Amino acid sequence: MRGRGLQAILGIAFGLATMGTAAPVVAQVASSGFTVPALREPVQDMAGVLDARTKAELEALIREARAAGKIQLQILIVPSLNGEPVEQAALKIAEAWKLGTAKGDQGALFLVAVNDRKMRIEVGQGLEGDLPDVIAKRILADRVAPRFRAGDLSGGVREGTLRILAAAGVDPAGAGADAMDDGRMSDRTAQYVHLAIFLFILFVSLIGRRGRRGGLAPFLGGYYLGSGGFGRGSGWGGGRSGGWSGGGGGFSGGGASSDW
Amino acid sequence: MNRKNLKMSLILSVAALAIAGCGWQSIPQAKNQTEAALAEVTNQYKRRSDLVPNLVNTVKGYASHEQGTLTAVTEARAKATAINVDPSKVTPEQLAQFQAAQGQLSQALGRLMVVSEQYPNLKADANFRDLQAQLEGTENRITIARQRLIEDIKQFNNLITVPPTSWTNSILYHHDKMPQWDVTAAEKEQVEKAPEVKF
Repeated sequence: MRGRGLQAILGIAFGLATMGTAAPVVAQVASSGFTVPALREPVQDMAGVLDARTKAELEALIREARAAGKIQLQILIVPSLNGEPVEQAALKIAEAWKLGTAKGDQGALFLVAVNDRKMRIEVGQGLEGDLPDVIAKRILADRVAPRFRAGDLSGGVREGTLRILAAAGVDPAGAGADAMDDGRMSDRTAQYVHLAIFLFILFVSLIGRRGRRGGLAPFLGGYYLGSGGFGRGSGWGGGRSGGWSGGGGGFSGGGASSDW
Repeated sequence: MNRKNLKMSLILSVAALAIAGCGWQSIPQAKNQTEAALAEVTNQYKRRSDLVPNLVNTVKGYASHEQGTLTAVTEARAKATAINVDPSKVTPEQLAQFQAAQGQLSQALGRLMVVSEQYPNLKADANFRDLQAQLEGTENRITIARQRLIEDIKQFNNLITVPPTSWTNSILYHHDKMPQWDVTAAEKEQVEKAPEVKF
């Protein structure tokens, strides 16, 4: 009898729990304005204004910079923003694509809307020191806008990209030569550290076993459950070639806009 | 049914309630989130206030006979910085005061920017251009921080007013609905005749 009562309570509890998870139905109001396209490649030219050589050159540089752990720069060129302010559109894109890592937030977006004659550099939280609003503004107003005004869209995008990468500490000439020198542990070092901790715990628990049964073995499981075990990636995902996606970087509105 | 089974079932049911969204965890989390979002809003407003003295000095160098506009900005800044908001224990009245003061500063800064348009030498000044870029960036950050705060307040209010999490709130937490961040009257006025600031 008591067992059945408990089962009923359990049932109700379970029902409530699932209700709780089902309750917040997100009502996405379809806004007229700019719709964020799917992220496919580092240099996404949807207006078809870049020449093939520039596109290939910039793409290689951006992939190098990302592999070096400095910055995940994204270039997006669209024909129009459909009447949406460039700041709002840039934030929408940055939030949807999550450029940069969740830890480092080194994402940046270089958005150009050709027909609106508007552009913006949106800077991730982790890059606001290297690429403050003032620098972003100078890049756009002094370096990019004059070329755009002269009708040289490829040249302007190239110049802007090089300047952004330089601000993030990437030297375009020898980019990628010194990988992972931004103070974070490389994957390999991290693995050795994990191995050392593992061996240490194993050692201690073996000694402990002699004295009393049980030892420290449970801690072992706990540690490795918590850390996710060996070979945890640094989150940069795609490397030199192939896939290209964001890594969970955050944005809070840093950067600058300009028209031409 | 022995005693051990009963205990086990009890633990299980409590755990099931605790883990899956009854609000036991999500209500405090949402409250912390709104506090963090409000802290970010005040932080960005602070950042804007910090820019003002430099901006006023730079403009003064080129447009000294715009004394009225400059004084208005300085005074609005003084009033705005006088109101401090502690995100964890802020009252709706305090928040309204804070908003009103910041709205005044927004207006005064807007007028200053309109005035500065009439001085070509000022507009060409490198220092002024940098300050303009910073001000523009900060205004954008304020906008975003406020959007996020509004969204977080909505989430929190949903949790404490919509069942089943609202039941948990009335049993355990007794939080009141949070007033939504509202655009102040002064700012509404400003939005209607937004100054066109060309950079």
